Amino acid sequence: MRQTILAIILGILAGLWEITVQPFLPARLAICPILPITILYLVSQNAKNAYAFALSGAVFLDLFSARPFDAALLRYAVIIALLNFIASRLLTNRSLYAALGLTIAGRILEQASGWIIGTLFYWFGKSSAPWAASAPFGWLLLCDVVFVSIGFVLLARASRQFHQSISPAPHSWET
Amino acid sequence: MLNTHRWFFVIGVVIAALLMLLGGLFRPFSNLLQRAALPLVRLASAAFTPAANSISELSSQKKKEADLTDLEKRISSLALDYTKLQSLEEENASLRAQAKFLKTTGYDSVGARVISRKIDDQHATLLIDRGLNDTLEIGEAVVTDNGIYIGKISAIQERIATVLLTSDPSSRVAAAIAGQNKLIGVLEGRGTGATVLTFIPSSENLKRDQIVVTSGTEQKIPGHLPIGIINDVQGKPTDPFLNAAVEPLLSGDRVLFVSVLRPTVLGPSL
Repeated sequence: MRQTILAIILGILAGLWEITVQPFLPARLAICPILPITILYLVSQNAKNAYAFALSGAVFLDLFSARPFDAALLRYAVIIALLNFIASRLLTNRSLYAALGLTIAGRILEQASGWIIGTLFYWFGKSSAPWAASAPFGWLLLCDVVFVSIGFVLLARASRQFHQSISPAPHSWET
Repeated sequence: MLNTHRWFFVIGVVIAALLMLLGGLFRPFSNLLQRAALPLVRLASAAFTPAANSISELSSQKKKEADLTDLEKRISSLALDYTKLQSLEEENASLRAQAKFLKTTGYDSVGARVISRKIDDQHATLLIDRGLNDTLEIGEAVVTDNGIYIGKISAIQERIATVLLTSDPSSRVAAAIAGQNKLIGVLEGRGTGATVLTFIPSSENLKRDQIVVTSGTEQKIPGHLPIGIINDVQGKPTDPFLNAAVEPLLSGDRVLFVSVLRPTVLGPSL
């Protein structure tokens, strides 16, 4: 429960960052922390905390974003469900490579869903302009990869949960 | 089989939620959440946005130096050219008129903080912390504290509003030349901070460095609000209309506080 509350608070802070800080930074500093931290939550904890973090951040994106309406809350709910599916069926080994694979898949899903919903809302006249990414896709992905790599290494160092405990098998002459 | 049913259920829920969003069924709930969260957003905006803006300005130092060189050239050319001094005199008259307009043209202003923005080649919008509750309306002019026109309100909710900057590709504003009380063309946004004055009759004799102001022919946008300076006039004398590249006096992406000009009749009754 305490972890979930912490995830919600961190999610709110990440949402505030994406609204009030990130748009004022140069495009080269495309640090959009909601998705990479969600990946770290999925890899290091569980889907429940990942949902709590991402959805509390996405609420702020929906309420206060200057970009055309893109249903961030709904998109993130679907993206985490898909990423959780990938993490539990395909990339199951909780390694740095798995985290990076999830990051790339997550960002592609986030951009694709944003484009689809943004275009839909534009067609229906609910948005005044077509959807556009907050930064060039390559930069966004590079920042995500760097963020997740650093976060993963720090988490691994701090929690030791990714360390393999290898105990040597007893040899026949030792028994 | 169960998994297939579950996925169909999820897809159904997503489509239903999208339809409800399109129908605006979540609007009362989102207004309530906005009301609760706006103080937090204002606090974060006040604490972090100026710092982020400073970082952004530092990173664009090289561009600023290039701009400065160009501006220095312009200043020397202005100093040598008497006719351009005359245009500056007209600009002065326009600014004087603008300084008085708050008292004389039936508009008052509502100060607002910029809480977010979206600036790229397809969008140029700001999000401000004032909305319907402050009796703002779509189409009202937004100016900086020194009276420079930067855009107009394009979307509005109870407590927040979206400002469409002049450089947004969907922005259109009727424009005039300072000192000439007539509509001369339509200022259109081109993205990435660029604006172009279009539909200028070819009979007009426009020159570089003339000041472009609002024409006052649009509802809710007073005239004589300075917008930008003409950089280049394009077109042949035989063309029916000319175009002119206009450099905004102020880039909207650096603005942290704005004023929305509201017709006095819409203000709260005391």
